[in-house]
Amino acid sequence: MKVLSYDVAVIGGGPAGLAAAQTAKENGAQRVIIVERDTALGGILQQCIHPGFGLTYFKEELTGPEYAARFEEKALAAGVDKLLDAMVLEVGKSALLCSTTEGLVRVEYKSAVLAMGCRERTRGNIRIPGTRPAGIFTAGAAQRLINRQNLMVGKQVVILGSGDIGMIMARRLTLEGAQVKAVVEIMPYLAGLTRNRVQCLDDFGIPLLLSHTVTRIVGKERVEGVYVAAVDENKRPISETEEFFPCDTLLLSVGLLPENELSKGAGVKMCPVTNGPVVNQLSRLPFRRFSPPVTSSTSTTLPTTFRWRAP
Amino acid sequence: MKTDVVVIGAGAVGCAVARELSKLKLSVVVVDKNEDVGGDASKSNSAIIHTGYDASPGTLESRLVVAANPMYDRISRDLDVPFSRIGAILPAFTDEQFEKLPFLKEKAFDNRVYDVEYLTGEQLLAIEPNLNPEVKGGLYIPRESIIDPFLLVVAYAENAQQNGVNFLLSTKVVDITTAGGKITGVKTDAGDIECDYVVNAAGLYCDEIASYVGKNDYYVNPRKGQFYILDKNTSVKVNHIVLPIPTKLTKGKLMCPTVHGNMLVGPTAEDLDDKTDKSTTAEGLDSIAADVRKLIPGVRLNDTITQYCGLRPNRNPEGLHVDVYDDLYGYVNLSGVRSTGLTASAALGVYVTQTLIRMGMPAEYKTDFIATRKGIPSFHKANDEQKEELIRQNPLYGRVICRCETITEGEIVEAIRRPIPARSIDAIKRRLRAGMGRCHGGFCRPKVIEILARELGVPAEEVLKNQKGSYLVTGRVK
Ligand SMILES: Cc1cc2nc3c(=O)[nH]c(=O)nc-3n(C[C@H](O)[C@H](O)[C@H](O)COP(=O)(O)OP(=O)(O)OC[C@H]3O[C@@H](n4cnc5c(N)ncnc54)[C@H](O)[C@@H]3O)c2cc1C
Ligand SMILES: Cc1cc2nc3c(=O)[nH]c(=O)nc-3n(C[C@H](O)[C@H](O)[C@H](O)COP(=O)(O)OP(=O)(O)OC[C@H]3O[C@@H](n4cnc5c(N)ncnc54)[C@H](O)[C@@H]3O)c2cc1C
Repeated sequence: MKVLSYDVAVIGGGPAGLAAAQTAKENGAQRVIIVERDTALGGILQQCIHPGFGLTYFKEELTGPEYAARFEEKALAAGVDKLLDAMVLEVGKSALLCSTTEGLVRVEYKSAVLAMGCRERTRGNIRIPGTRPAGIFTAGAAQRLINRQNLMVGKQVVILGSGDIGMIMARRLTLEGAQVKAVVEIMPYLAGLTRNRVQCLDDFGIPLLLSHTVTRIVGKERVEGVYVAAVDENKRPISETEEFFPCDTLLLSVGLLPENELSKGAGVKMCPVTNGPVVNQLSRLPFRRFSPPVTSSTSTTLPTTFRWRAP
Repeated sequence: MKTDVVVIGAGAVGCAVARELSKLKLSVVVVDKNEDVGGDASKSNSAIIHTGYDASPGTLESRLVVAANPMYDRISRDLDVPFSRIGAILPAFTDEQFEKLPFLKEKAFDNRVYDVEYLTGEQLLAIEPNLNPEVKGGLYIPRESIIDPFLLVVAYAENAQQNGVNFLLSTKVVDITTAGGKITGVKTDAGDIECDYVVNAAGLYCDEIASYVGKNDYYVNPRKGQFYILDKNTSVKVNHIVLPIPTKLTKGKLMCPTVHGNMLVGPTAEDLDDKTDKSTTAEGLDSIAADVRKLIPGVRLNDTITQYCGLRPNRNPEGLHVDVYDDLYGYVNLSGVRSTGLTASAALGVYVTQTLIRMGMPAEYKTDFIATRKGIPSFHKANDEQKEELIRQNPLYGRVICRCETITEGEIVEAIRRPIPARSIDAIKRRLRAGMGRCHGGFCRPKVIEILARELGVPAEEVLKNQKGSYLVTGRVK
């Protein structure tokens, strides 16, 4: 097995991982590596091809891939190494076990940074009844298909959840010629930014149904439609208000969950409330003069493991 | 096309029958309307290999299930199917339930299941700590077991195929032809097949098939069963199949582990008319929650990763039947393979084959029958050394595609290239579990679409979830 040895090993090459790696390097760590399962760095930003990134940090408006590329350049210029197309399978006490097409790789580390990002909540998690046809996507999966694989997911779409990803996808799908019938939100208020509501829904005449939810999915092979109903103050559907929306696609933008498997495997204590690791927001970090472009830099219950989150 | 035997239906039963027939010097064709082997009911059930302890004593179903259970030690080994003898418990919480235990034990005795034991509440809590602490006592049924139902059917089919059986998928039987009181062939939507013998293993649709030869003196209605599957990480688990004490009306809802470490909770039992209604309902799912909390009060249904539903082929009048007819040579009709058919499949293979032989079908064994089948090597189950070796043999084994279940591109490509190829997203999911984990395909589905398109040499819009019409993408973006 190939063995590599580093002071800092960062798992995940998204914005959080890139910033952590660069900052570690700038603050005195000798050898720093990012291990990333994708074939490129940038994480989720690679599929966020819309503008709006970098306003605070770079004082200019960039798309996701442009914004990520800036961080990548900085990190690589600072001398950070990368191992791509490499899945971290296990985080041990002093080494990561990674799988690559050339074999297993052991990356020994003194400190590890867990920056694996999030996964999306699914239909199963929120228990939407009905059939199980093709045409149900999480918004992020649809975003990946459209923006990275250039594959269109459907023609007539209902979106459940008014988070930013859902609203951005409403606009994206409309620009690609799909008809977005409605964005449905169970809460009485918008989940995402008002800016996105204006730019992604209002400007395209896409209806936003607050205090509504999808109560049933219909369709044998492919989605044929969904039932949408208003909900009462306990978020329970009011059956008399149920209305059928014919569509071939349902997008779910119903929340993100931290990517935890590795952290759990490594023995990091989990918090039942956030479903993320138990962290010490004010912990001392091993590198001084630390100011990465992240809003929270946190250490977990393990002495050498840190978990960073981007804004 | 010409063959000796046509088996209609590639579910657990049809594939088990085909495998048994493939031990004989015969040509056999299995026809199924679905795009993959796996059946309908056979892919949406509780995945339990029953002992028959609670069957109606003396019935054919009782005899078949009792005979089948011990067969699985060997089948699981020979055919490389995940199987585990975890045992079941039947706890009583009320006086009324407690008083029923002797009757249930007596019934097991009648069914010749002699290893059912009485355990005290204390003993039950010791082996099943999350059980409702009000438990007064109960029965322990040690040989009730769990299996991977998808791989069982795929394994039967692949082994049958290795031994010469032909599978015609996406092919619907539309008629059966006879002449002079004998079977002469079946008609399908993809052409006619001449044959001397027909086995009707069409599950829910066995009444329709029977009507083609005028033997539909019964009808089948679907009895829906809904389930929850919980995340492997859920904190309240069980070690056994935890069964409720049955009432006059229903066998009730259970909780058990799957062979892959998830928790399965359900099923409901709802009689329907529509054979295509495979939808879950809020009422059904709520009823599971209410019932299962009586067994395992702490069950965390919020940790659900999916809900699904299966349709039991409920025969009217009831009962599992294997029928032959004096006035129709060459025809075997299976019906009412309702709630225990996954288990019974192993014994039904033998039973149906023997029935055909008794009828007059030539019975000469092959000396070169291949008895074993190997599954696709699993990266995730391999140790580090084996992982290195798998990657050395096929570098794609080093690229993880499904992050939740750690399934690699190498395994996916292999599934697509097997002799009975996985040609749809669901076929890959059932063989490998890619997309069956907690993100339910959110991460791997886009990649699996790409891999399938590449391997099948089709544009992405022709990649299907399962049946014709279940396309995932509509084409390239503008
Ligand atoms: C679908 C989606 C759309 C979004 N859209 C926007 C938007 O429009 N605007 C905005 O401001 N924010 C958006 N966000 C939020 C933003 O993307 C995140 O805040 C940011 O990307 C988080 O950065 P990160 O580095 O923590 O995670 P990610 O960008 O997700 O990066 C994590 C990286 O870790 C890698 N990884 C994970 N596990 C392993 C492992 N075991 N081995 C190796 N590598 C691994 C992943 O491949 C990934 O590259 C979106 C988020 C999602 C999920
Ligand atoms: C909710 C539920 C829970 C269950 N739990 C268990 C359990 O724990 N243990 C157990 O042993 N059993 C269980 N069962 C029962 C078991 O699943 C069934 O008895 C068994 O799967 C039946 O197998 P089969 O091959 O007869 O039918 P199926 O799997 O339904 O296969 C029939 C096949 O015939 C094909 N077909 C139909 N018509 C045609 C046609 N015209 N042309 C071509 N092909 C056709 C169909 O496409 C299908 O593939 C359960 C069932 C359900 C629904």
